[in-house]
Amino acid sequence: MDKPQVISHIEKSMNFTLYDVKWIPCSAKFVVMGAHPQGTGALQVYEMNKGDVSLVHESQKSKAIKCGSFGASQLHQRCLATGDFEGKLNVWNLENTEVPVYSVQAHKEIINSIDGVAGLGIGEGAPEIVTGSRDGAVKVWDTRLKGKPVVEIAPAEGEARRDCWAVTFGHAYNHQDRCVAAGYDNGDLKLFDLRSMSLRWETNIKNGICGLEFDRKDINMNKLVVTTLESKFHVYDMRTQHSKKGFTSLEEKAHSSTVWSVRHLPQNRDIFMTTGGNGSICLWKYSYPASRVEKQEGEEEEVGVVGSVTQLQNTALTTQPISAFDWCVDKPGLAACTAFDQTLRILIVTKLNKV
Amino acid sequence: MSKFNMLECQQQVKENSLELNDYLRELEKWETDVKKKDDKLRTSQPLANVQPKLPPVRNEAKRQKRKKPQSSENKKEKPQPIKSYNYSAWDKFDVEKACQDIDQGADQQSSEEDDDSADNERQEMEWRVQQAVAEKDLGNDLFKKAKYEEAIEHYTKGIGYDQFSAILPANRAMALLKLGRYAAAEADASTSIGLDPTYVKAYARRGTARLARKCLAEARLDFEQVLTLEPDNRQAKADILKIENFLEKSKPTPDLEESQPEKADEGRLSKKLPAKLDVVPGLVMPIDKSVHLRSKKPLTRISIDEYDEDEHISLVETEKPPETSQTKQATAGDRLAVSSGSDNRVTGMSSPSGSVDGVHRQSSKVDVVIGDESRQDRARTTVTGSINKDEGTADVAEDDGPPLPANSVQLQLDWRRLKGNSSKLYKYFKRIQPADYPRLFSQFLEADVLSQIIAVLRDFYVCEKEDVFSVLAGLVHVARFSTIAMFMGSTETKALNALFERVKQSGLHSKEDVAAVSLKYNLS
Repeated sequence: MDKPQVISHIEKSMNFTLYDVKWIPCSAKFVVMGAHPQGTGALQVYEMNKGDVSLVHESQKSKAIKCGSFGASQLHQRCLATGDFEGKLNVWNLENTEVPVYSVQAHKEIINSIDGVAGLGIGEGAPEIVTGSRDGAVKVWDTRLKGKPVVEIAPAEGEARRDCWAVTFGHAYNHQDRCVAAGYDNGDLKLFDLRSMSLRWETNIKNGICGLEFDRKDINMNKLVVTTLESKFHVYDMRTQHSKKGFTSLEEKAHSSTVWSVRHLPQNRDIFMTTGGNGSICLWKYSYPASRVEKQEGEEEEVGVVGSVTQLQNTALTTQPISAFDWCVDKPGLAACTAFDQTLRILIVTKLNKV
Repeated sequence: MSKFNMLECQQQVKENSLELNDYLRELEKWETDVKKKDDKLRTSQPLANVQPKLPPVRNEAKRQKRKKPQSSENKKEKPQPIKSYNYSAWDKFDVEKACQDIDQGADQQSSEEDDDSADNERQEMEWRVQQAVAEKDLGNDLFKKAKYEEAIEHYTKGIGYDQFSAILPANRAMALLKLGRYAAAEADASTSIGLDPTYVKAYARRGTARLARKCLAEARLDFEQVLTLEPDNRQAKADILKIENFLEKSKPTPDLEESQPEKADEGRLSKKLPAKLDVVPGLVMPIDKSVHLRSKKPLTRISIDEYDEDEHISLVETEKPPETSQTKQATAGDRLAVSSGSDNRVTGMSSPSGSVDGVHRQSSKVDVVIGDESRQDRARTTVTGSINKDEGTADVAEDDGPPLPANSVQLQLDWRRLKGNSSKLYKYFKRIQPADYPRLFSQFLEADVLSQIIAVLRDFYVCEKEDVFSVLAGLVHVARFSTIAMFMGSTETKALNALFERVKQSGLHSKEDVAAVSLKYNLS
């Protein structure tokens, strides 16, 4: 009966559409990104204040902001990288959001997803930002290089350009190794190896991929959770890649609607939260199998064995899709989420240390 | 059972709310803690040395990777080391060769390092060129705004970055022209031409500068060069016309000594070389052909006729050089040349006309040295003319030194060449008008030069019964003369005394004048 409880601690109604929320590292503040009704971008910083949140800073940008990440920022700078509806990648110093510290027209169309690595002490190597866009391209950016990406992964000229919905970094456990996972609207899942500059693995899971995340960015690839349309998500064991079968995975049904995103608990990589299109959030726990690899009869090569997931909690917060969810790194059990009911919620998840 | 369940449920709820309360209390504490931490982080400046050294930007790393495979190939070439127990192989082992290989390997390695440094150098060079272009653009903008001084500053900076660009000095020349600093403009344009002999604008600008400096003949050459490169250049045509008009006006009575066949020859030459209207007969000229027009055929050896010194002198005596006062005619130098060949391929060895310093315009100064024939210094070497393709006629002209110098630099060069040959020096010196001494000798007159002049006066002027006094009086007006006169030795003083004695005896000049001049020579 020691089920973790998910409690909506604070609810704050906003006057704009919320697309993303991120805790500012090493603070009780978080930044909310979205779009005002007139199409301009909203960038607001809130601070936790004894059972309430208070607005610290607010600025309006010319373009609606879709997504943001602190992943590539140094801790003392805490610069937020954002992708907007017009395909522009901006990096903001939140102390002064008048002009971006780095700005580039990254894509021709909306940036659906952004992720950073090697900042905040998470991941080795050069801090980089990855963006995925409706124009079908996935680009990796280094803020030291102005005006052009360090890596561009796009379909060849003339080939169909699928809408890239989700990107994430992983495998950044040393200076050389780094991977980018990208999910597309047609269910394509691609894993790019930035060390060898090649496509390491790809598969199709039939349903459009809305969100994906490695359980940890800064370790040798362990697990990858992929959430899709049609109320499904997949968990891949990324330790063992078979030359033909690839990575082994399991499929799980949840939310009875689109699974919008997945976020692993920073304090425990085997616990993760998925957010649903029906306004519910689910907490899951992954259990490893007895042996993570096995050899099939008459075969030399090992194939990965996937474990199992158990649902710890399922809580309905609203009736609208939960667009974003972010765990607070500094305080276990604290999280923020945004939903399309224009409400920001601060959540408390108890008993996480007991599961 | 259900009662038990309900109790449990109650307990659960109580537990949950307790847990939540605990969490909220903790949360509040965390809030205050983390806010302090946050403030500290925000206010404190990051220490420079704390910041980790970041790996290079990704695509730069990639570029380095591309280079690596080359070096690994080298490694693959290395033969397998011979195993210590493989005696037959050791028997065949050539120690000398192995040592050599090791040496070569070291060379290779160093060359690899050279590659690296060359790469860096190239990058540095690229950067410099970029900077130079940026400076040029800035300069051009300022030039358009008529801020010539500032434009010149930027061009100068640009030249500092990239001294091989022909455009920068040409642009600076233009700005200098606008400011009326013609001499500097001419020098810059010459530099530009030296870097790119096909750069039309540089010729045009040098022509303009020379025109402004009243060096008409040179200006004309430049404009003609513009026309050869760009036949439709209206400005150049107009300028040439202007020069011709000017020359027409200032032309003295035609020189009687200029013989008819020579003129015909000149006409023929000019047909061949439109750029050189004042080509002198019997003179070997470097042929001004821009690089792209030059013959691609290989050079061929050409026959050289040798003349004895005596023969030459007899020639000189029989055909006295025309004594002229005009600079232009003096450039029609008097060099001996025999044109008998029929090979136009020799043009390949001609030097471009726009030599870098702009002073060596006088092509007659170019000594053509061909092969080992040149070692006969006593014999006159003459070069078969490349000009006449179909004719084998031999024109004999004579040579008694370079033409009249246009400026002091040229004078210095000529003087140095003629120093050993006093008879030629005499002829050369004689042609210089005493009135020109201050201009030509100003930076050049030293004690040794003065003693050479005095020697010439003593040895030749006296014999030829030339006017010694005008020379002596002319030299007095050269800057710093009095200082130089103080360094005269006893031989010079003696010679001077003799000279002045002759002047006095001749009675051509008033005694006061002679006394005043001799006083300047520190003679009592």
